[in-house]
Parts: sequence; structure tokens; C-alpha cells
Amino acid sequence: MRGAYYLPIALGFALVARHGRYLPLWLPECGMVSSYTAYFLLERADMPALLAVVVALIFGSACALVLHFALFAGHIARNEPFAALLRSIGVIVLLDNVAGLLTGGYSLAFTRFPLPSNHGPIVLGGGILLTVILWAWVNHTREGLGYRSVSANRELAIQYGLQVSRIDFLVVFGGGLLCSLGGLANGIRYGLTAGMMSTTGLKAVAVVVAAGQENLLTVAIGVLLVGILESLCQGSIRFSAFEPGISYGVLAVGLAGRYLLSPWWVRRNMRKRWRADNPVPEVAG
Amino acid sequence: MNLQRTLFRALLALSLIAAAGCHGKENAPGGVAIGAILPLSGDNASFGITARNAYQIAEDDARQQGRIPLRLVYGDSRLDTKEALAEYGRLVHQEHVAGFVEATGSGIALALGDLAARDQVPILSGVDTSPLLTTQGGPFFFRVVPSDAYSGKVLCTWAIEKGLKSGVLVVNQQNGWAVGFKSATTSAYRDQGGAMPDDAILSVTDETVDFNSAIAQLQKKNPQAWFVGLMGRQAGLFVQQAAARGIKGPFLGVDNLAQSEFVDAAGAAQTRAWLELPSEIKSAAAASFSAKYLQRFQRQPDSLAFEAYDAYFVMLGAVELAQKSGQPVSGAAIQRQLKATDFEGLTGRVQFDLHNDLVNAQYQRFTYDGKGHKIPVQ
Repeated sequence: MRGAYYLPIALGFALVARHGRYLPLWLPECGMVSSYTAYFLLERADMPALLAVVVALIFGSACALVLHFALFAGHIARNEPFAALLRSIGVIVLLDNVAGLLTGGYSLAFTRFPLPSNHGPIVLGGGILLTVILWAWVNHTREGLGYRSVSANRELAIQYGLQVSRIDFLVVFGGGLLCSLGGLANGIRYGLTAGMMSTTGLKAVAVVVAAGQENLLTVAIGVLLVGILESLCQGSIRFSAFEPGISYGVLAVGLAGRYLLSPWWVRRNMRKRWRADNPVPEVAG
Repeated sequence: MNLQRTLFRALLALSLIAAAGCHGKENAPGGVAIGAILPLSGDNASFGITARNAYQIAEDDARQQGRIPLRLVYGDSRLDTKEALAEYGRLVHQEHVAGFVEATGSGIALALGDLAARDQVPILSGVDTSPLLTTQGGPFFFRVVPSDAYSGKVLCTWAIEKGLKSGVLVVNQQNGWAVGFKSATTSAYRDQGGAMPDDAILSVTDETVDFNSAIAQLQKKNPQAWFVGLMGRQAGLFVQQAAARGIKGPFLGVDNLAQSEFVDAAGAAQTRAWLELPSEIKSAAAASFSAKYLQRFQRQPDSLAFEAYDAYFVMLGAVELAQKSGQPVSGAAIQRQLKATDFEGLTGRVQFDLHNDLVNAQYQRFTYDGKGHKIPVQ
């Protein structure tokens, strides 16, 4: 089940990574922002749970938009992935420190959130549903086509008259919303700490890099697999200590697999295409 | 572009403020410089912040008593040995501290022991309980908190007395304290007739927050006692997740289960915890300290705060005696005075044995009432 908690973060990350053609390491931090917002609204301001969750999700997504347009949009326009990566690290350090200062360094836990006892299947089912919706949006809608076009070639998309800024807004808001949702789910289940999204975010990043940001279904399967492998590893007396290394193992295997298999796929597809273009003439008996 | 630049500068300035906040250096000018290597940021910041809060109250109390408070110089270790070593070097060689009132983390204290002996800088701790420190802490390491060799034995005695003769243990293998707790608990439990085979001990890491597989694995052993070698939040999550699977416990621990973060994370399952803690002396001074702490920091002090307060006054007493002797206040002079300590603190009488461990530690058994309050049990 634990992979289901990583799922929205990985999907949000993949969505924005493909769009901006960089690794938005900062994006999972919106989950922390959302989680802390929900905590303060629910536990300190006595706001009703549903309202607190909705406000927190909107706040987390808005935070993603502000950070994106203030700090990263320029890098994306200028195609500077490494500068954006460095700035991402700065944002993570900043947000983690602010969270630490606000809470005096203490970890927090939701006490008033009515978590149902069978929440595991709900989170898993919700995650799978999200994946399918997102996959359908990307691959079978007009907005999705625009998203894919901008992701493939931003300059060309602008020249063709696509509303790139609108797509930017939609994608970053959507990615922020997914990460906020994932962060909130993690916060409710495992509590809140400054830096709570660092490890979870890195696991999601590892899977997205291994699976490829354009393959949403593979990303989803990858994070669920990481969750299953972590659980299996933890349940073994001999291997329990290797649990944190699972996602990095998946990253290594995924990358190796992609590099080793891709020439084979390319060759096979080329052969297929050649055969389709050059049918073998039937030899008359 | 200008807006972006301005926003970025504002964020940078905020981050510098945040970093400065996490790296507070000096507290009160005037007194002898004493270092405190604490986790003031990161996942374990609550340890450092609790101790720092207690020192602030101790400084005020020292002033009220007409004494010159120590000039505390903080180093932020993030509970990481490398960071702690760097902070130790800075505090000893740049800030010229004469001793340390804390070096949080048994692993860190073990790493600093030899350096402290070389530099003749005494380290006093109210947190570090690893049994290894008794033999490997060196002549300049002291602690006002009992070793886990002792607390583990007392905890296991409690379990055996209650007829809990098969036990399991979950332990964070990346945590120096937890490793010490593991060795102390397993040997004491087995010595007293308890069954805890090697495959009933499961290791997790700092990053583990979902323990369901570990719990399922340990559950197969049909344990009567669950020993918890995890700190604060992790311990709370473990107990909460085990309770959600219908496990009644008891979950046994020491001061790791006394942290407020354990209470928060465990939620209603906190009532299944059994804690063996150094006795809290019900003195007027302890009550006054609790009231001041609550008023100033809006939190109940946990046992760590009491120990930190005692450590401060033990160090202050040693510094004052070193000053009275007419000799320059050096680390070696403070160490000599620490050896002769006989101090009545909030947690009882503080005296050190040949290994600079606390002698005559008194323990008390507790559980929780479900509202985060510890209640003594027989």
C-alpha cells in the first residue's frame, strides 16, 4: 500500500518534468506546504476537516504556481535545466528551514483527522484512478495534445499559436495539486516533519527518471513496485536494512534496462517499418 | 524579470534568516564559554530545542540565584556525526569553549570521546545512554542520565516480573542510541530468562515510517513483549501501526517513549506503552521548572528537559569550583571538579562513578493515560 502514497507525487513530478524538460525537485515540497497548512487549519484553527483539506490543497497548488512563475519559468523558457535544478535545491532548503522554524523543530501529527481504518485500499484505488484520468488527459484530450506539443518543442508550439502560458498554468497547477495531495496523504498517515517530502520526493524522482517522464503508466507501476519491494525488504530479517536503497536500485535497474533495451527496441521497430514498406513479393508456385 | 529577481532575493534573505535561526551561536555574554552540540535543525531538532529551552530557564534561574550564567555557544549537529565533529572543532578551536554541557547522540559522543580527552575538554550529557560510553567514552565524558546497560536491565526486569517471557525488538540500526539499547536489552532479557532469538530482532532505518511489514514479521513470533528501539516519532508510528493491526503490546521503552513526538504520533495507542524512566523527583524545584517551561514554551517538559537543566547546573557548579580554586578555568580543572560532583538536581542526586556514569539511578514505571500524561504504575 505504501507505494500508493508515493503515486500522486510521482505523477505530479512526471507531469511537470516532461513539460519543463527538467527535474523539478522542488515540486514535492508543495506537499509539505499543503500538509502543514492543513495541520494548522485543522488542529490549531479548528476548521472543519473537509474545508481544511480543500484550502490546503489549493494553497499547495498556488504555492507551486508562485514558485514556478517566480523562479523556474525563466529557466524553462531559456532551456536551462541545470540552473533550475540548483534553484530547486535552494527552494527545498528554504522551505524545510521555514517549516522547522514554524514548528520549533518538532514533528507533528494529525489528531483530529478522521482517518478511516481501511484507508489503504481507498488510497490505492484513488491513486490508480488518478493515474488513469491523468493518462487519458495527456493522451486522449485536446489539452493533452497541447501539453505534449509544448513538451516536445516549446518554440514550435508558440509558433503554431498554442496558448503556451495557459498550458503552463494548467500543468503546474495540476502537478502542484497532485504533489499537495500526496503530501497531505503522507502527512495524515505518517505525521509531519520539516523535510518530510525529501525522501518521498526522491523516491518518486528515482522512479520517474528510471521509467521515463513520458510514460505515466510505467511511472505508476514503478512507484507501486517500489512500495511492494520496500515492504518485502522490511519484512525480511536479513534484508530489512536495505529498505531505503530500493528506490535507488529501481533507478539503477530502470536506467540500465532503458539503455540496454532501447537499441533493441529501435532495431526491432526499424525492421518492422522496413518490412511494412518492403513487402516480400509472393513467389508464384 | 525584476520581479523575479526581487522575489529570489527575498527568498534568499528569508533562507539566511532561517539558517541563522537554526544556528544560534551565543547566548549570554560574560560567563565561561561552554559549548552545546545539539541537533537544532533536521528531523531530530526537537532534542536540541528541548535542551536549549531548558538551558534558557537554567540561565534565568542562575541569575536569580546571583550566579554568573555560563556563556553557552551552540553548534548544530543535525544529529549527524560528521556535522558534530565539524562543530566540535569550531567550538573548541575558534570559540575556545572550556567544556560541553551536551553532545547529543551516543554515536556522536563516542566519536568525540577521544578528541575530548586529547583536547582536555569535558563533555557532560543528559541524553547519551549507550552502554558503550561507559568503556569507550573516555575520561572526559560524563553523563547525568543512567546508562542503558542499567535502564535496559530494569526494563527487562519489569517485563519478566509481569510474565512476559517472549519478546521481539525493533531497532533503528542507524541510530547510535538504538544500537546500544539493542545490546543492553537483548542481553538483559536473555539473562533474566526471556526468549528473544536473533530472528525476533528487526532493523529499520532513519527513513522508515511504514512499519507494517516489520510488524507482520515480528507478529509471527507471538511475542508477549514488544521492545521499541526507535526514537520519538518513529516509535509513535510503530506503536500506532501495530495497534491498528490489533496488537495490544505492551510496547516497552525508556525515555524514547517519553518524547512528546511519541505521544503525538502514537495517538490513542500511547496507552499500550510501558516506560521505565529515571525518577522524576516531585520537588518544589521540579514543579517550578515544569511551570516555567510550560509558560514559556507552551509545551510540557519531557524527561530530556529535566536532564538538560541538571546538566547545566552540574557544569555551572564545576566551573564555579574551578574558578574558586584560583587556577585558570581550563577543561582539565572542570573535569576534576566534575569527578567530585555531588549535586541534588531535579532528577535526583547526581554523582559519578569511576567511569563517570551516574550512580544510584532511581527508576520509575509509567504508562500513558491516553491524553499524553504519564501515569506511574506499580
